[in-house]
Amino acid sequence: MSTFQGLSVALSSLQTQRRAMEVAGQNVANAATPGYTRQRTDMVSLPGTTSSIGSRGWTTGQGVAVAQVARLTDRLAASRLELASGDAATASTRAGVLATVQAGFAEPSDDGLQAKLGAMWAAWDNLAQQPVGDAGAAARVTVVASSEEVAATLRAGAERTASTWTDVRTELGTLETEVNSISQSISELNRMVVATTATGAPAHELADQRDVLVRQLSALVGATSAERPDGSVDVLVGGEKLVSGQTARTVAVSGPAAMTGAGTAPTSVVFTDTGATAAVGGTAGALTEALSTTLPDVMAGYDRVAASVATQVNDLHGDPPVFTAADGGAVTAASLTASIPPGDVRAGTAGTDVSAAQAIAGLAGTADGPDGQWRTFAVGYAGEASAAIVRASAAEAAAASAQGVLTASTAVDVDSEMVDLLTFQRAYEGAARVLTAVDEMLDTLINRTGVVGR
Amino acid sequence: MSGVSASLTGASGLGGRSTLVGSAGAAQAGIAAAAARYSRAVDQVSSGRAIVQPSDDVIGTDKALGLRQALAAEERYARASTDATGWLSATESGLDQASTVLNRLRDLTVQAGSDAMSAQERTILATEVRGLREELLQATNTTYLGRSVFGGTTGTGKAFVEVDGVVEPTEDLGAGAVRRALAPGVEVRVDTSRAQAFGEGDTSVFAVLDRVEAAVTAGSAESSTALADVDGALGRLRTAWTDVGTRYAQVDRLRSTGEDRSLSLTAAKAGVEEIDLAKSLMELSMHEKAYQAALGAAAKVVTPTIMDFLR
Repeated sequence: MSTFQGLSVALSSLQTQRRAMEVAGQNVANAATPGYTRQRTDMVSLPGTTSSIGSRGWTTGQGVAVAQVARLTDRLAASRLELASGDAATASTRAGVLATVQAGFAEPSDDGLQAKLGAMWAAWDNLAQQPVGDAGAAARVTVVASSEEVAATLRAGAERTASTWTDVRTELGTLETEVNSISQSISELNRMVVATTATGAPAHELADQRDVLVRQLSALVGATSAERPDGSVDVLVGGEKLVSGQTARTVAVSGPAAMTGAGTAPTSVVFTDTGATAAVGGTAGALTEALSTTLPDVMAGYDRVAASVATQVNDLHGDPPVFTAADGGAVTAASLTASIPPGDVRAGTAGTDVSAAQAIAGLAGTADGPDGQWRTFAVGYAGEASAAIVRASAAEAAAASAQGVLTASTAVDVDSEMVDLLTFQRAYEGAARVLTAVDEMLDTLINRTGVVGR
Repeated sequence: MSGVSASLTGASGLGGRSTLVGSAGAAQAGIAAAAARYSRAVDQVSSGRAIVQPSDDVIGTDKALGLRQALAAEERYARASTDATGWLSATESGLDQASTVLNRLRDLTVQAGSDAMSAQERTILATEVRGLREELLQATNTTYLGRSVFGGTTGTGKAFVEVDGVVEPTEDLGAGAVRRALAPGVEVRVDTSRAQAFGEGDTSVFAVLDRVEAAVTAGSAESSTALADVDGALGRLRTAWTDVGTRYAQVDRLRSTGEDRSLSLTAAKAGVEEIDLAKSLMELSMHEKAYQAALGAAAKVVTPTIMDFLR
């Protein structure tokens, strides 16, 4: 037992408490930093030296040391948040796409297709009442104008759908760039974490930055992460590794560049190196779904309505057809046009016969007429949009709750940090007092010995 | 301890620890939700529409589309019934005119039945009968907006034309009848068959008139015989007139029920599509208060910490 051991015990405490206060200070400083994970100083008491053989007497411990500065992560809450934020991003993106689709319907209103169809049937009805003379000529002009209005509304719907497709495709392209740059950053941070940890220094702040990036990837492509023993993480997309420790792979969007090709080739996200399709979730999942299924289906719906208008009116009108395709091919919503000269519009077979005009006006009331087709189509997508909006708000609530759980367990509670700080401060003061006591003891021993009574 | 999930060991996960980031995030989410509800309420009140986008109320949208379709049909029925009324009024005045002519013809025929008539007087009567023909032709060719009301679907605006001194019906190339749809599933014929009103072939009013002209010239006995012919023509005319009157009443009835239907459809559409202003304004002010409350709560989110009590 050394005479000076008391000094070194006090010193170990001074050093340890100072370190602990620094960590508490770091926690308080980052109380408002998003993604910061609180740290805790784990202290350990140092045992005394084991006595040499035969030695007797007592030994005390050698003071205190910092065992580790722990990063208080919560893997369960973190992976729950990864899944929930991926789901929320999918649901809200899907709801956004459907909201854009239904905004194009402009129903129920006086500007929607149904109002235009109503005006067209009224024009035919008017022609049936006034088939001859000046009134007949005027009625024919109205028939052509209102038919062209119906065609123009359907063309506008098709055009809007196609431009939505292009917008979504552009967004997916931007997302691809973002995902690649984030996964690159994650692999870089993994490398730095491993390198720093190898030197024995904590790399907690680097790990925090990396985990924030992983959560961004969760929202973008539905990525999940798995921790490695060396402190780095693997990032998985649909079970395949996007980031494997210190190496990152890249992804690319594969599929047609314009909506015209969407019918035959679906859009997907693939790994650049193997060409395999990545089972993406998150925003990317909803975007690929919109490009491959939703928007082509909407376009097909517009085409069905356009075809039913053209077929049913043309069949009852006879030659020449009222509705034709601008490009001469099959009638689609994009190509529908009513370019018949008003003089060629026939009310009936001859004279004042109005059987054709009457029959066409009668289409307004048929269940499988254009009105019915449009109503089924528009209400169908309104229902899907409504369900998607409900799902999105539920998924967002779940993600918010998962975020809350993670925050509650990993963010900084200023009160408890303050209490810790007080504890460390008092312990420091105590150690300083011990130092003074030992110092006074040594003073007595060295300077006062033998001078008693002098 | 770091390996164990604090969210599992904590008392209730969310409520376990109160952190600065956590409470700020919760306050922010509260504000966003309140703002979204407020903005939706503002949208509804300012537009006056309960369904701003179809997904707001899918069943309501479907109903609204159905009601709009039915209302458009009612508008067509209303226009058609105005048109039908015009046709039938024109028909009535045509029949009125024809009946005046036929009554005058009957008077002349009765006069010609008197034995006291001299040959010269008979010639004068015959000339007058001849003169009635022109008037009768005009009555049978009554038009409405350029279309012959007795001509069915003939291409020309006339029901009868005079060819080489003989009046004949014009050729009808169409379906023969003019109909108007006046209610769902109800079509009413608005023209009047010339064969029914004025007879055809031998019984045609013009044939009768020609025969009367000959009979008047021939003598009193022949004239008395011709009287039955004239009465027959008048009878047909009256039957047709009654028929027109019946249809006129039917059109009137259909129009008035159509107007009722139209009113109730409009009310139903307003019920589905438009907001209840009092209710929406209440909701608006409620959401406004909720939004302000959320803002107020957020202002106090930085809860007092122990720091406030340390020096």
